[in-house]
Amino acid sequence: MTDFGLAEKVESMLGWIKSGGDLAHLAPECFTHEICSPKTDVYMLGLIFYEMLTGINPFADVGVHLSGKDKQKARELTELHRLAREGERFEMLERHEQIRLYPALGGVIRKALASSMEARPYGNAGEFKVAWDSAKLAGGPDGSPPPAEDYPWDTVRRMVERAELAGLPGAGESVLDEAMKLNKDKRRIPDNKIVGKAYLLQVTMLVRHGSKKKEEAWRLANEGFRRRKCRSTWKALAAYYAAFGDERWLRTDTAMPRPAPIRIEQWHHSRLRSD
Amino acid sequence: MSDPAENLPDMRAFADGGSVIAGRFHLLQYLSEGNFGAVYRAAHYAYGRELRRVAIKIAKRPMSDSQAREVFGDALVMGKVQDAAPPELRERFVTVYDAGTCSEGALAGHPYVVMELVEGGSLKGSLRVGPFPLKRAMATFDQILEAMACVHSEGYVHRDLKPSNICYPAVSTGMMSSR
Repeated sequence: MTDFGLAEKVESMLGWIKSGGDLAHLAPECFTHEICSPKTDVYMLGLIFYEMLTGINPFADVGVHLSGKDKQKARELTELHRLAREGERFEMLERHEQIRLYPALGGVIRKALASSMEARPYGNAGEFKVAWDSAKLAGGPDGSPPPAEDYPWDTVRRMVERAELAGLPGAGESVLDEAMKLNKDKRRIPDNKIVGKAYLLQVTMLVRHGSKKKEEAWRLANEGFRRRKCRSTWKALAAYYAAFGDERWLRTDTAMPRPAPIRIEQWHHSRLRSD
Repeated sequence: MSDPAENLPDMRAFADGGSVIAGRFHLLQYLSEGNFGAVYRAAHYAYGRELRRVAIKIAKRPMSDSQAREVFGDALVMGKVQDAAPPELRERFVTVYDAGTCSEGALAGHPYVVMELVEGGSLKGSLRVGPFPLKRAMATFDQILEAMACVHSEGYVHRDLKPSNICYPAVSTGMMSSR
């Protein structure tokens, strides 16, 4: 972890939810009231990786709350998990376009997600980690190692997402500063490119909020475009137009030569596709 | 467990009233609510000075000590796991500072746990934005695995691993020296 203050933390609230709770993240043995072992955590870890990669929890539709005494419900859910194990719900992992290139990694996760505790070959997270690390070394079909390193660009995106989630005001400027600082050490992306990308990210994030953040999105899209005309800032403008579709044109009160009015249709055909 | 007829206190109101827990934790803001209790942002005071901001989790129902131990027992184990972890992994665990039972006021008899305030949102929140690219998923998973390997090597089982239990520290926290 080359930390930029971004290390994840495992929250400590171990037994907060014992008998009721978020069923979608429980291991099958939790429903049958078997004794939990580290293998239970191995299953849950596998589920977390599945969810990070695909964005969905395979058992999201099971997400009801269940009180500890509801035996009938528990039996139904156990059955559901057993069925899931038969394959359909985990197919998505195998079909995932990136993980397919690295079958060793997929295999490790698949084994961790075995429904019965006996079928899970990893006794605890330590063993799981050993298998995972060797799968990472096994690499893809052409022997290339999976992409393990973090690029500044990812970090920037993460910062924006996090700022967004925390609802921090004025996140835009600080994200840009951070991005430039990070890039100074690594020099993976030319600085001016990062500027454009930071604007693009912020605008696309703001656009999701709908008209609430319209003015801010407009301001940033403009500012980025005036600062640097590149693929990313064009995209940022396009994202604004695509979301709000109003008749507003670029501001022209700068020293820049007056840009031609941009309409989303023109832009879309000529540039987005070739990007 | 959750009986609809049961009369539970409005946990949201306590933060507005500026309640003080155990004479030193001043509730500032209501953050979220779970099955068993609510989480608040709070300020830890000593001798009239604010020491630090903390997160405090307060149960919705009054409980006996043995019940409280049942509910919070595993959280209290976290300190041991953290101490046993290699130094570079310690920051991966949320620190538990204190725990106890409120003795006076409207919350008398409700147990609480005081924890490190982690403000960067959770993995659940970032997944709401969309799935991770492979390398990011792998980088994140590496960290979770390392932390869990520590937990298991100490002989504990988490039993409640899920994206909402995995938090990020705050965005670009500036470093502050103590004086």
